[in-house]
Amino acid sequence: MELMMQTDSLPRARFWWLSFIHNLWVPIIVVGLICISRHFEFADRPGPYVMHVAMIAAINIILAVSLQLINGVSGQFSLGHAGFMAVGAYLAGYATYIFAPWNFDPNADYPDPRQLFANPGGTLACFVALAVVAVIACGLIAGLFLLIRQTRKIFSALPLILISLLIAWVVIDARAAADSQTVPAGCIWSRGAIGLVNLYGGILQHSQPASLWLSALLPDSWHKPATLIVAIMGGGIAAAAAALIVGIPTLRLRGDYLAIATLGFAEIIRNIIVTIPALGAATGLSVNVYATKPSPADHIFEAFYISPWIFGAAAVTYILVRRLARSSIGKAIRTVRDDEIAAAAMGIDPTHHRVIAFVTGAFFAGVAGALYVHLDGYLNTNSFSFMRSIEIVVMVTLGGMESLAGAAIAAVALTTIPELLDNAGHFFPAALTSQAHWLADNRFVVYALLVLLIMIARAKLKGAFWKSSRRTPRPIGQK
Amino acid sequence: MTQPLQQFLQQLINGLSIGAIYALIAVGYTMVYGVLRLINFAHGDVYMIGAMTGFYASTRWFHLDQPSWLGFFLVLICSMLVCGTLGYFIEMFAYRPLRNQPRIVSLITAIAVSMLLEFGGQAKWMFGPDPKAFPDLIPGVEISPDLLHVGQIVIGKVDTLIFAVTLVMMFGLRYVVRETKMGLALRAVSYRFDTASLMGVNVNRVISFTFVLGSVMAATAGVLVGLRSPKVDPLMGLLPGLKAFIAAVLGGIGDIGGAVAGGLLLGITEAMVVSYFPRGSQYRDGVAFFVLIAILVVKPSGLFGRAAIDKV
Repeated sequence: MELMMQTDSLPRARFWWLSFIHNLWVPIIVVGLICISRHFEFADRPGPYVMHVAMIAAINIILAVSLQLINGVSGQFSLGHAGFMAVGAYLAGYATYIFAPWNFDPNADYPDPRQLFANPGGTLACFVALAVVAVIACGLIAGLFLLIRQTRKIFSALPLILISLLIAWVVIDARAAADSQTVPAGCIWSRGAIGLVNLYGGILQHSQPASLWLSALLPDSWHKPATLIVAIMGGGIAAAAAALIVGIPTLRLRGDYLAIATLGFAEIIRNIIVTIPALGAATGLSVNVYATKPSPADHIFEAFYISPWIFGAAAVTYILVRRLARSSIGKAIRTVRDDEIAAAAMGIDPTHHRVIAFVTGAFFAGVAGALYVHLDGYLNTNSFSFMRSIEIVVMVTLGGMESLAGAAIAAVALTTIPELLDNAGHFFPAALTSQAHWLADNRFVVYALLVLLIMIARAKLKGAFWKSSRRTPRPIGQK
Repeated sequence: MTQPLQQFLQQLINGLSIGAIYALIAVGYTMVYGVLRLINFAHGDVYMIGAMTGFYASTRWFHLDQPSWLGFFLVLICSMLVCGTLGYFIEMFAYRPLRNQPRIVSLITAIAVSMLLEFGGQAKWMFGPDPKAFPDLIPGVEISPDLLHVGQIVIGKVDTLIFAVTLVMMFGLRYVVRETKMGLALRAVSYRFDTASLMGVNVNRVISFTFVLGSVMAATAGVLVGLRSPKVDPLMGLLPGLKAFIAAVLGGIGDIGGAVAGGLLLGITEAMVVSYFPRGSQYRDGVAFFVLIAILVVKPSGLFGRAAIDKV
């Protein structure tokens, strides 16, 4: 904190805006993607296929850059990035899905059904209601745990016993509630859970006039962009909140233990989503894409209405993460990574800075998830499995540790190269087509070998390429 | 016997049978961690290779049409040989060059090796992505899968075999670690790496031996699980591998007895959750990870492990 105040009090350099030129790497890539994708059309691929690949590449840029903030800059090793992406995607998808036309009575008389397709006020109200419920639930649970923790003053093993008893109580409670038709009065946990769900529904229902009024404040043409912005920000904030909850117990852990813990949390998040019917459970969630895209009723053929948002988000993410990494906070984060004890001795709070990096990274993962769901329109927990996390880790590793531009380039390369190989007939001589297809089929084997070779080469040819840290501070007096 | 007690005992038996598999895999994790302080992510995939070798050995190489004990042991030994060799080469090519690197580097490498085995296994020129039906190797299972009935409790033949083989392997491991010269060297290396090498222990050989030993245990688990659940596929190692790691952490990573206890405990917990929790089978995997988070938060050194102190 001291560091930050010091830099704030310094006079600002005259050409401070020139520093943005350093940040232009990814905007250049993104503009390149847009230019390429506008001008390529494959005869044998339906629709703007190249554009779709470019958008997936841009989403992967967001994921890779934000994971680089956690893994490279902050030196934590997160294997659960897909979990945070899932939180963002599911909540952003859900918040627009509940206003899908098929959720309303088709016989009802609405003034303009297109208004309901995009309801920014309603989406906002949905997030607010979720936040209220989450705060109440987490507050109660955290309060209970803190209370139980206090009992260790009486007897050191008492908290463990009490928590075991509590878990047993919850299990018995849930079982009793599941066995009977009506929830018995004694099942306070089940009743509490039902009460929270009812509270959520109540907030949503009673805020409807307010949310419709809010939506009506905006001009009609702004409804869909506004819904998308609300969904993106809501998804990002939800992922950041999940990261905060995950981070409190796990960021005490170091290195490989943290990796396994984040992996575990990502799997738990997936497991929880599968058990919630409102999120589509195991069959997946078909999202209301017309909340953000022109609907068929609009008679506009613009299949990729969302593309400027995705490309814009990739560029903005890169610039923001880079600004953060180069700021005094970023310096503090890197100091904690390099030597935690020294950093603590300098007055930098290690936990605080770790949490900043972790939560910021998760926020952008949530943003990527929200964009992904509005691009694809369909969600399944299989899209956010361990393998997805590993894919992002591979991008970060191939890009080089700590290099944001490297991560972005690797994200683009790993997304586009398989597609290029798949369509090898357009680029390579006919003789090489079958080899290219073979390579595309076995691309994950090639990734694994590449990562393996890079890791071994890094160790063997130290400093020859992919230096671990570009600006290694030199001790004073040494040339 | 009353109904709830019977249900409880039946689930206990199921849990012990799954837990024995976890314990066999977890031993490999914990030995490698004890020696190298490395989470060998590829270990779950070595177990997959063990099951796959069992499948190919019984159907393609030896053409075991009739189930027989001789065939079972032939397949088991074949699978152990293949996995032991694989473990040796994984250590030699992937982990040995990185021994002095930060732990994160070797962790990424371990993930890469795991990916290589998984996706290589899924490729058409290896096993192919489709699940394969593991043949019956034990005589008499297809006639009646149950060994004996105690009241309503059923004890399956395969479950009994899994438990018996696990017990034999564990006592064998115990003998190797406690009584042989190599075991002494292994304990010395896991106690203090550098000092052991100063005392004339060939560290490279000990580490190779650890990998081979762990892989042989994983191969046993692979063949046994092939008998238990009829399908084997190239991604089968991912989740059991992670759960076995959880078992190792639960017991205190680096402690062989702890890994066995952790594996059995995790298997029993899973079976209990599946049977007692409403819609419990949905939570089967989540519970294992919940156990992991709980143990990492409450007691990161595990149930039987000693807490390590970070020295400046």
